[in-house]
Parts: sequence; C-alpha cells; structure tokens
Amino acid sequence: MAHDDGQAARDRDGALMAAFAAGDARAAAVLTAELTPLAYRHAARLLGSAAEAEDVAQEAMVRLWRIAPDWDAGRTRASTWLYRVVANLCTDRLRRRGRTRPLEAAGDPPDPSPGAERGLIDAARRDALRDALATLPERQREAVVLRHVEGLPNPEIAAIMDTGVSGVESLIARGKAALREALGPRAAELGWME
Amino acid sequence: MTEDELERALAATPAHAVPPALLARVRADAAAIQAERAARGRLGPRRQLLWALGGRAGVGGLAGLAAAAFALGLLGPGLLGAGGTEALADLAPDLSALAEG
Repeated sequence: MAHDDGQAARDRDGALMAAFAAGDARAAAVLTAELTPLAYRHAARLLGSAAEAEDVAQEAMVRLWRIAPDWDAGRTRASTWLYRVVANLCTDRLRRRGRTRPLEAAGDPPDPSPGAERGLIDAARRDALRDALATLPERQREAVVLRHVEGLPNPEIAAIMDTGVSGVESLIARGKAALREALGPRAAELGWME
Repeated sequence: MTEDELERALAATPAHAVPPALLARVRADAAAIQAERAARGRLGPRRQLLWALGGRAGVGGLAGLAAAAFALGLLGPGLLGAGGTEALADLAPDLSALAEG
C-alpha cells in the first residue's frame, strides 16, 4: 500500500511538472505553494540563517523550474529531489562559510495563543535545539532533521542523501546520541523531562 | 533525557514561516521561465539553435560569438545558408526583445 501511495505521489508530481513545462500557471502555483516552504524550512535548519535560507530556497526552486521539461515522471518525488538540491546548496554554503552561524531573525511569527511565559519557554527550547543541532556534523544533522523534524521515512531519507537505509539509521543514531548529550543538562530546565 | 523525550522535542520544533516576499520571488521566477520557454517555442529551428547558443554565451556574448563564427566562416553558407547575413539581421530584434522581456 505504501508503495502504491508513493507511486501515486510520484505520478502526481510528474503530472504537475509536465503541466508546468507546458506553461500551466496553476501547476506553477501548486508547486510553489507546496515546495517552497519545504525548501525554506530545510535550508533554515541546515544553515541556521533565515536570510541564507531564502536564497537557497529560491535557487533550488529555479533549478526545479529549469528541469521540468526533462523531469523523469514516476522516478522520484519532487520533494525528494528538492531536499537533495537544498542540502547540496547548503553544503556549498557551509563549506564557503567554514562554520555554522547562529540563526538570526528566524522569521517565525510570534505565536499569539500561549501566554508570555509559555512563549519564553518555547523560545528557549527552540534556541537550545538549534544550537545543539548546529554542533552536529552536516550529514548527521540532515538525517536527524529529515527524520524527526520533517517526519520522513528512512527510505526516502536514504534517497535524498544518496545512501542506504542502514547508513541513514546509523547517522540518525549517532546524531541523536550527540543531541541527548548536548541537551541532557538542560532537559529538566526546559521542561523536556516530564 | 530519554530518546523518546528527544524525539518529542524535535517533532515539536516550530516550522519557520515562509516570508511572503520569497513566495513572490519564486512565483515570479516560475512565470519568467514559463514565458521564456513559450517564447523559445515560437522560434524556428535555426532561431532555437541561436537561442541555445545565446543562452550558453549570454546575450552579451552572442554578438562576440556571432562575430567569431563569421570570422571562421561557420555562419556563412554552412550553417545559415546563403541568406545568413540577412537571417542574423532578422534575429537581432527578436533576441533583444526576448532578453528584455
């Protein structure tokens, strides 16, 4: 069943890409709405910079538009392809940069629902997680984010990262061990141990 | 901190809101690329070839490319036929308009 769902999703993406290549503005709108947030979120988490994430997301989407006429329908999901391109663009930037930088104005809108105290706790948790993720090696960070933040299944992560499922499991396990070690001392303070 | 606690914390990571300006830029890129492709589709085969050359060389580089090709005799009777010079003259406004729009 999951295989059928995956094939149906790939077929749908293929149809949208073909429609885009044929000049369909609605296909462009659907793909933009579905994929730009994905590209931006992933870049922001890998780079720790909202401004750089915007540049990466835009560049990745331009590459998607350019490849549309040659899209191999049914072979891969557009999201899988896009995650891979975003990760490659981020890797290039991180290598140029030589280090990770803290996430500056992340662009998150203030959440109006919780009270001020709750908002402070959420912000502290977000900062702690971001800082801990930034200490991980690139591929561990990418695997952990794709699995536990984006919620992707390991086979799709393997396709994105061009590795095997066992390689993904190993990256995730090592990444999570490092995160637990980094976050452990603050877990009680941040309300993660209940 | 247990593995479950860590996984719950990661899953609760708030999603970054996409800046509206980014969405606007992506939409504009998509529209521009579709328009470029549509314009290219209206060109004949010889013009599509020159379009591709222009894309590789950059519009600014196209004049240099054409001059070099003329110097080498490639754009004489060989590629464009006897009316090569006239054909290139015809193309200039098209290429300029496409580059601008």
